[in-house]
Amino acid sequence: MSSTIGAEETFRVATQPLADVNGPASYLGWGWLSISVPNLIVILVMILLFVLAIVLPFPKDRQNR
Amino acid sequence: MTTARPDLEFEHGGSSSMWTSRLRRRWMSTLPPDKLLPDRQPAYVASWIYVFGVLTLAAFFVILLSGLVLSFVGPAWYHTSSAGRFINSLHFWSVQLFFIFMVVHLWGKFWMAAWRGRRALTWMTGVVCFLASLGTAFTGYLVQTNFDSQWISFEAKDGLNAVGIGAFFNVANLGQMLLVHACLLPLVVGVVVVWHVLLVRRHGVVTPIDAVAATDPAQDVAGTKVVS
Repeated sequence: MSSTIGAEETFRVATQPLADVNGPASYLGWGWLSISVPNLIVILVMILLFVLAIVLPFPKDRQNR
Repeated sequence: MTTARPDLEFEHGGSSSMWTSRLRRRWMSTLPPDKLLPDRQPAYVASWIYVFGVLTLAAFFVILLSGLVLSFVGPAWYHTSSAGRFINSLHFWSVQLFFIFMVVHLWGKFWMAAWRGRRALTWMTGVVCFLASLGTAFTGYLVQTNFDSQWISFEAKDGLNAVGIGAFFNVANLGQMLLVHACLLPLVVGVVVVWHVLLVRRHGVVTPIDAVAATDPAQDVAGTKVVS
């Protein structure tokens, strides 16, 4: 019996999602506030992008160096 | 005797009173080619925060192209074949990126107070574009033709009936939602996006809040250099 995995198995593992996206999302709640984990992740990603866009230096044009 | 110079006449818009001539003169004085397609920008534009507007545009083009493919081939293809699922997913994920980029663009412009310097219409076309995009995305969720769209429409109908618009905007009517999603709202978003971009070209990118207004629009606030 070979210990190597086939191409089909490799494809299945590579394309496996990080989370189960077929079921209902998990929700977090603090008092009146209720938010799904996917929505929270998207908001945090947007905030991170915004901060990085302000903080990170923009590459300089070669002509103006 | 004077010699006719059609090239110069064209350059200056001519003196004809025809509507085409008047429109051309108006266009050339409002948005000359060097403003419409500039090759240099003020130095303060060299920041990642200014990239998100064009990223939103790029995502919008991917949405339009993938949506065009989906509309031609239909759900029997994009629900069953691998290629169909790929294009369907491409359409969905480009919408997610479109909104992420647009929200970061919105935050950036809000904190710059980008409506300054006679740019109120630019800001308002952005607002209309955002609202129309929300409607387009919502109707997109309704026309997935799966259990998810069924669930969303039956949750949404109660809310829309409660505010009194359910009679002419019926989320359970697939044909109506499909036409609104694929014809009406993309046209609205497309026209408003073009208008928004032309206004940005006309008025230029807003200067930083603490900047002294430059006399020459080709110069940055410090009057030192411009970047290509």
